[in-house]
Amino acid sequence: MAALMEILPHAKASAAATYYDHSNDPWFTGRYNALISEDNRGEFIETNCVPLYGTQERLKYRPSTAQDLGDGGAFPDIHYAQYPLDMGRKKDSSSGIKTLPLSFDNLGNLTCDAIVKQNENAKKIVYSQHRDQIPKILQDDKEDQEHELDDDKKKEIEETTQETKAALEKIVNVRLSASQPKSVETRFQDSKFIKYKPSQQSAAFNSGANERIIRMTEMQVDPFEPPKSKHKRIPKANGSPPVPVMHSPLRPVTVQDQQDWKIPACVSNSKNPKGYTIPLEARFAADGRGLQEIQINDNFAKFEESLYLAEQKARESASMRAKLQKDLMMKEKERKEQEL
Amino acid sequence: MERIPPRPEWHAPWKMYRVISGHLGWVRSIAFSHNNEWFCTGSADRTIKIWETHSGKLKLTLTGHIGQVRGLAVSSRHPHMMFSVGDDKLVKCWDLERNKVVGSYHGHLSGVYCLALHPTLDVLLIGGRDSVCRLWDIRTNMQIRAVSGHDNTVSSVFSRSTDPQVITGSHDSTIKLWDLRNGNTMATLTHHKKSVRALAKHPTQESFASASADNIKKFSLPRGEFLHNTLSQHKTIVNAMAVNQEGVLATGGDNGSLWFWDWKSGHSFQQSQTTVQPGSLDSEAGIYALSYDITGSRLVTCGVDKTIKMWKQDEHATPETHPVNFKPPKEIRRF
Repeated sequence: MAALMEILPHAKASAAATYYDHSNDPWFTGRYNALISEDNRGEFIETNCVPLYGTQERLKYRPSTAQDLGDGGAFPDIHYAQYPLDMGRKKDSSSGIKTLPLSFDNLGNLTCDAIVKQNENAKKIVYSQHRDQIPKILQDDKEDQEHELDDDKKKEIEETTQETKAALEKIVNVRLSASQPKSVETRFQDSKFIKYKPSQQSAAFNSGANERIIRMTEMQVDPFEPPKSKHKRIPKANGSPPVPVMHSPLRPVTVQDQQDWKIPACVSNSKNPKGYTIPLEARFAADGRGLQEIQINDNFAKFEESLYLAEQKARESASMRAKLQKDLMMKEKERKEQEL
Repeated sequence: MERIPPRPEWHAPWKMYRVISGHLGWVRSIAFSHNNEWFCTGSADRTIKIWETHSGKLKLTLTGHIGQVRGLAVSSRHPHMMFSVGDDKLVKCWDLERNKVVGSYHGHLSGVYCLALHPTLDVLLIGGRDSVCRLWDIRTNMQIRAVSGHDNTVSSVFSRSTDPQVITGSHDSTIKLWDLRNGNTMATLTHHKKSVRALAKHPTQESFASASADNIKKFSLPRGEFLHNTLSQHKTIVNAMAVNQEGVLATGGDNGSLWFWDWKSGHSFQQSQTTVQPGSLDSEAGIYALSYDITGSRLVTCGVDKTIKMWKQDEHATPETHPVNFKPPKEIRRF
C-alpha cells in the first residue's frame, strides 16, 4: 500500500478541502436562497389527520394532495400513486397547450374547429364547417370576370413562376453537384505537407533521418465502388395530421350489389390440379355446349323453298307438255283414221 | 343560403363520326398536339401511335415501353417533345423531330399512372402507384421532389401556373392541393367517398371538377372550396373526364357510358353509350381516356375495345330540335 502511495503523484489539495462547499456553488445558491426564503416566510403545509393503521378508513385512504402527505414521505402500505412534496409528479409543460383556448369567428359564434387547425394544419386550408358542404353555384358575373387574363393575373403568374423556379433550381443544383464527381476531384488536389521531426534523434530511429516531410492527401475514392453502408429503410414520416372528413358515411352494400359482385369460380375441363369433384352441369357449362345456339341461315330455307317451287313448276310444265303432245298425237291419229 | 341551380345552357348533342381501330390492345391514354394537327394514343400493346386529327390516319408508331402506356402529354413549351408514362415504371421523353427517346426519368417505385406538365416551368409531375407525386426537372432528368401524403395510388394530376400549382387526386378518395415551392400540402379535400380517378380543370374559369364513382364534384380554386355536385349521378366508375371552352364536361365510364354535362349547372344533357367494335364482348365497352382537341370542337375517346372514337357536335341541332330536358331538383345533393 505504501509503495502504491509513493508511485502516485501527490494530492494537489488537502483532504479537508476536497469536500466541496456546494452552498457556494452558483448553481446551488439560488436554490438555497429559495429554500431559506420559503422557510422565512413560514409557509408550512398543514397536514390532515391520517387514519390509523389497520382501520377500514386506512384501506380506503387515498393521499393525493399535499395536505394528505404532509411535509414528506409516502405511505408504502397504501397502494396508490403518491407524490410527497410533488416529487416525481410529471410537470408537463405542454399540458397548458393541450387545452385550446376558446375561439370565436367574426360573427361572434363559437368555433369548435380549433382542434383541427392546430400545429401543422394551422398553415393549411382546413374545411370543417357545415357551410363547406353546402353547394354553391357560381354567379355569372364572377365567371365573366375571370374570363380574360388581366394584368394582375399575369403579374401573379410571373411572380409565382419566378419564386418556384428559384426554389426548385436550388434543389436541382444541390442534387446536380452531388451527382457530378467534380467536387470529389477537387478534394484530392489540396494536400497538406507536414514537417515531422522525431523526438528521438539518433541513427537507430527513423532510418537516421533528422526530419521528414509528410504529404497528407485524402485517399482517392473509387466513384464506382458500391456503397459500403447498407441502405436502411427509413421509417415512414408520420403524415400530416388528419383533416375532417367532409362526406357522409358509405352506404351499406345492397343485396343486389353483392350479388352483382359474385364471380363464379373458374371451372375448366382441361385443368383441375387439385382434383376437385366438379358437378356435371358445371362441366357442361365450362364446355360451352349449352351456350352455343345453332343458328341456321334463313337463306337455306329460302333456297329450299325456291328449289321446291322450281321443281313444282318444272313438273307442271313437263306434265303440260306431255299432255299437249298426247293431244297432238291423238289428233294426228284421228286425222289419219279419217284419211283412211 | 342554398341556391337553386341555374337553368342549364343549351349545348348541341354530340355524335360519333369516326372509329379508328389500329391498336392491338386497350387504348389507355391520349394527348393532343398544341397545333391540333395530330394526337397520340398510348395503348396496352406497349405502343404509342400518332394519328392525324382531320383524317384519322396513322402517322407514326413508337415502341419502347415494355408495359401499358398509361399517360401521355405533349409539351406546349417544346412542341416536339412528348412524354409518356407506363405501367413498366418508365417515364420517357420523346423527341418527335427524330422520333427517339431523349430522356428517361428513373426512380419510380411502381407503375406510373398519370402525368402533367407545368404550364410555365420545365417541370414534369408524375403520379403513380407508389402514392407519391414526383416532380422532375425536364432538362437535367433530376428528381426535384417527391410530394408524399396520399395513402394510395395517385391516379390523376394537373398543374396550374399559380398557387396551388399541383392538384392530385388519389385512390384514397382525397384530393390534395400542393405548394410546389416547398412541397407542402395546402389543402386536403375529403369530399369524395370513392377513389378520385379523374380531374379536369376548366380552361378559363378558376375551378376544377373531380370524378369519382360516387359523384362528380366541382371545386373552386385557389382555395379548393366545394362548389357543388353534378345534378345526377354517373353510376359507374368514371375513368376519364374533360371540359372544353364552351363548358361541356364529358365523362367516360367503365361501362362505356359517355355523359355530357353542362359545366355551369351540372346538368347532364346527353347520356350516350358507346358501341363496341365487332368481335368484342359487351364488357369491353369501357372508356379509359378522353380528350377534347385544342379547339374543343372534337372529342376523342379511347376504349377497352381497342378503338379510338371521335365525336363532334351535331351541326343541324338547334334548341328547337333538341330542347333541354331539365327539371330543377328540389335541392342539390350534398354528399
